[in-house]
Amino acid sequence: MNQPSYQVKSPLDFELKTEDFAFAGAREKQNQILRPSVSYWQDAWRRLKKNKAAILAIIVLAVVVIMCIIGPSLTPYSHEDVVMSDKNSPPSAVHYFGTDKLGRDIFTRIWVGGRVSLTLGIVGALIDITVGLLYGGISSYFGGNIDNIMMRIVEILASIPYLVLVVLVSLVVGKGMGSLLIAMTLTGWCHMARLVRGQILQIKDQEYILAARALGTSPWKIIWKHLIPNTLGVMIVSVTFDIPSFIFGEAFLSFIGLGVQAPMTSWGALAAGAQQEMNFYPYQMFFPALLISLTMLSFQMLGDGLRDALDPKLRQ
Amino acid sequence: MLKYILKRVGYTLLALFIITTATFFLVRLIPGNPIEAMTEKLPDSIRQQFFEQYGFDKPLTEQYKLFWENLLTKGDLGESLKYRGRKVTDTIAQYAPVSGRLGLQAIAIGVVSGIILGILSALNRGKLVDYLVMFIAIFGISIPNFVIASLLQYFLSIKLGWFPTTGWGTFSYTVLPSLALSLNSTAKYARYMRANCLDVLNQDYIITAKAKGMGKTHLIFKHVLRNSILPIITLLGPQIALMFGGAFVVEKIFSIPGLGSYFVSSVSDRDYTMIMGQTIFMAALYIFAVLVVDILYGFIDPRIRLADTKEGGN
Amino acid sequence: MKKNLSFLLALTLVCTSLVMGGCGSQEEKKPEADQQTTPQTTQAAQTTQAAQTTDKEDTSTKREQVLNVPFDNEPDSLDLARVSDSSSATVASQIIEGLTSVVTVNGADKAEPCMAESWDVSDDQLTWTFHLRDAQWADGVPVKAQDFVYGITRVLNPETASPISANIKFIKNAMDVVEGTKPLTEAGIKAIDDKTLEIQLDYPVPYFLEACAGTAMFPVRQDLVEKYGTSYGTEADKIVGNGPFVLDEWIHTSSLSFSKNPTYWNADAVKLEKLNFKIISEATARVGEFENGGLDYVSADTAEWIEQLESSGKYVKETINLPRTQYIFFNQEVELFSNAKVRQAFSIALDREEIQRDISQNLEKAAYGWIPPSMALDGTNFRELAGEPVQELIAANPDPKALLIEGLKELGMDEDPSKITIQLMCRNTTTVFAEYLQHNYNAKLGVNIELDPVEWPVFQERNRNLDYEMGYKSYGADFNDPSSMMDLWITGTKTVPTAWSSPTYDELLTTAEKSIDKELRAKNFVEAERIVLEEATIIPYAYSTSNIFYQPYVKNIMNPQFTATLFKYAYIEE
Repeated sequence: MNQPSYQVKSPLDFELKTEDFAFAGAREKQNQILRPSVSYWQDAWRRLKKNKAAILAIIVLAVVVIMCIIGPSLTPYSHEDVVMSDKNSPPSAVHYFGTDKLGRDIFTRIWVGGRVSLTLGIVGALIDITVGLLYGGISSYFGGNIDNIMMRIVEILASIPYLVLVVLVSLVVGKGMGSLLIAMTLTGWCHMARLVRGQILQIKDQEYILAARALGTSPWKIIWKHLIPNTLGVMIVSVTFDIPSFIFGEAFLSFIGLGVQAPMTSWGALAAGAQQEMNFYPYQMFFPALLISLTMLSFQMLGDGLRDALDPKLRQ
Repeated sequence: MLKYILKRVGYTLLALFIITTATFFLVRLIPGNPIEAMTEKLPDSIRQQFFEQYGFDKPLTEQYKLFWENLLTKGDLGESLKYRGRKVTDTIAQYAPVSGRLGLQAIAIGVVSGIILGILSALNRGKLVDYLVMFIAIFGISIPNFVIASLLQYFLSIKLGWFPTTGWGTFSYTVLPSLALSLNSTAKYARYMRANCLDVLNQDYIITAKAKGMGKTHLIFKHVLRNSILPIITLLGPQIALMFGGAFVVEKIFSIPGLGSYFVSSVSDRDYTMIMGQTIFMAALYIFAVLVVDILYGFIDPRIRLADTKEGGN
Repeated sequence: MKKNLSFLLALTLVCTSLVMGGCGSQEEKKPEADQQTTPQTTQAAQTTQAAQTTDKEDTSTKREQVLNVPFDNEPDSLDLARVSDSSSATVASQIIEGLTSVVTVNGADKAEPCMAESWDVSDDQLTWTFHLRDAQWADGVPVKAQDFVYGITRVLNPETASPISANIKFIKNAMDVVEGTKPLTEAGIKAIDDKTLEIQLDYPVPYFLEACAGTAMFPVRQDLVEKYGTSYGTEADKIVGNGPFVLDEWIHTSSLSFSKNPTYWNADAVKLEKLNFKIISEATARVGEFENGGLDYVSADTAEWIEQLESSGKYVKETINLPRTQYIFFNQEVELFSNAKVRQAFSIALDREEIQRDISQNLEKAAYGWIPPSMALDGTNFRELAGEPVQELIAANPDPKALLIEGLKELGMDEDPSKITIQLMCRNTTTVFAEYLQHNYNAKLGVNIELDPVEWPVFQERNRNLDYEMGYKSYGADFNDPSSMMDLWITGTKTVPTAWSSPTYDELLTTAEKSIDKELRAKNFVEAERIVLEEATIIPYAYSTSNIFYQPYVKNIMNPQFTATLFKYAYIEE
């Protein structure tokens, strides 16, 4: 309410004029609601820019993504090219990251594998967030018994040991990226749904929502202008933290032989495959492990930065 | 409170029932069956006899009914299909303590070092120590388990010979796997502790205490530690339970006879009864750990009744 | 230098006298047995090591007769009738002894009498009468002929559903009993009295005495099986043996520890006081443990490990040719593979030397036949009899692609190989060879191969259901006779179904297997193998070997080809 429709230069030269009490035009009304939400993102961006770690993370991730796109075409090899005479050669000017036991170029394979790992991570996180947003949204919107039942279901699903479920389901649905995604997202969305619901319930009771309601703002407008922007921040943060857990999950499955299958490869598969030979060809494990760690690290730092930037309330 | 507890116990049992049922059918949907994992030199008649011996020739619904009958009336989860003659319950009783010890040691290391690092970093906020600790913490969750485990094994055992390479027995056997397993939780707790410390440090009563001239160390032990340790308990419950299954990789690399590595091999052997038994055990443990923590938490901090516990992932 | 030499001399003297003393009670064993494990043993490393160990302190601990042995897998169960894994057989073979046991003497395997002191055989070689020696189980109960009868009929009993019953299919009526068409009492085994056992066979079996050492013919105590029920053999205290060692402790998936059995009939020949099996599934950890002295031998399965262990110069290496062949097989219900020329093209297009050199890094040997070179037919090396049929096939058809196109023409299919896509079923754990095949066949035949990686049980199930196009695996013989490998391709054998069937092949084998005429057997087996390889029913590409490294003070561990490793004569050199 203490939010005048015009810019206040300083509280001291505050002066009331007659035109201040004129009815607001439609145009002004639009501005009135739009401007704070625009400045929210601008504000967030400004805060994020100040966070050196987050900016570094963005740069690293951008480089990784760009390399995954163009990397394989930077070498004359394809990720499947078998050259037996070149097997297990250490990093050199010819093979930047060396070759594996079939003489395939690891540099090329890393970026091809990166496509798989990153796609799994991003698509997985998007599935999680979409299902979570829908489920949590519906649950908290309808409230009452529906909310109660839906949340009990989530509680039960979330109580299934995650890895056990992933292992069993990935065996049942078969191999391939799609099946891996199904297995890993089957209960993965549960915590998203809870998060969304918690957020919406929290915001629903905030004073400014109450005020908007009292002022007669329609529910859809409240959802669009207040609820979504306010949950979006938290959602983006959780997506950032969710992506690495998919990359990790895939690496784990690769280690026990259930990850993506040859001839496809991934960072997890590359690292797991090289683990046996670590004593002899440490570089074969070093590069995929480095990329997994670097990506994880970047997503963590970016996530931290985004949380600080997007959700000052949650800042810890 | 009692009503709340009863309600929660009710849900827990329902969840267990659903998990058990789902696993029962999931396991049988997995392509490949236990006898294929045994030997290829089997005459058809033997294969038939094997299936009959374990009742796999009966319709699924009947097998399902029989499973509950045995479980509820005799507490019997059946006999392993691979390690023929071994009772599933005996096997779990034998392997669980190993995983349990490994998990508890890892958690102990994780909690203690996490708390220390977290406090250190909170007290030195914005200084080099803070950045260093946070870097370690983030790094800890950024390296896959099997990489850490292999590196520890390679350098500290094979190269330097400080610890046994593999196996299980005296304390020295447990050091490397516990370390490998604890890095993740160290990182988690350090971050958590730092955030909580900062939170508490900004509270009015701390400012009051400071204003009164209370020393820093005293402050930490008297107020900060006590108040920020509470949320750690919530994380602890699920963590303990997850340890039982979450140590797959570490157990495999160090050849530790624990439930984690056993579960993975049961899956690849299609040992239906073992998979069932272990899933039920791990799920029950996890659910009860969360339940107990929630109830305890309700007692400790009456403001929170339905603590929103998050799934820990891996 | 002089000191070292005299030390060596003393060493040799001490151990020779020890072993010879131990051998005294045996009639069969020759004194040369203790000289070395096999002729392939590398000796050079020993001298240097002997010199080194003299001034090391830990030699004193090594003088104890304790052997630490690596083990890949947890044994399934010591109730041998119910399991088929080699780990179980190895463990059980240290604590239980059959009528005979197979020992390796100068690189050759031979059966020596154990529970049987002597035996008679009928002229038609179908009736064997064994005279048991006065031996007892570790709990003091005497070993009786009835224990053997019980053990063998238990394997044949349909209620046991024993996975190893086919190992003794030569016993009279054995397979009918397994199928349930004849009662247990019809099986050709009976106890004439407590110490006399009579076994009747369906057909003459040249390797019968070796087979008597197998786990399917072990004696079993009926009273103990009845006492423990299904848990018989699942724990160290739920099994009693009659062999050289007693199982003291069994920590599942971790370790097994044995000690010398004082009541063993030949206890004087057993030097080891303790025997420990450590179960370690990771190769890195196994070798690491070996190098740190925690293990007394280790088998190295990659060229890198072998190079590392060899270059250290500290260890004694032994290379063993396993009776195992690795091969590619086709589902011949798939139209493409129903044509012999197509299959031949796939066989010829395989560069077996490249596989040996680059894929297995000389750990395996290029295979141009189905029967591995370590196997014999009635005492003659089979490969010497049969030559190298695949090499002849390659020589006769230098251009595999032309042969493939010819085959496609015969089938009436599109003659462009690049339009063909084949699913190659492989195991999901290692796909290196599959990726090599993919590359190789694309380069040489122009066909496209897609990998179809699956888990082992799925692989087996799909193989059995003919739900695949092409796959590869290996097969190991159970006994030293070509029939062990050749039976696989007889019509109706469902071990590795390929939908291939040849009445000539079936006829050749069945007559050879029932015959005692050595010439006929040789002729038929050689011809039958030729059929399989010329029709390219399967494509063998490598013979497996195993490379074992010993600490220099470890002596006389026996690795027979077809039965479990034996530690009863092993000892630590002082």
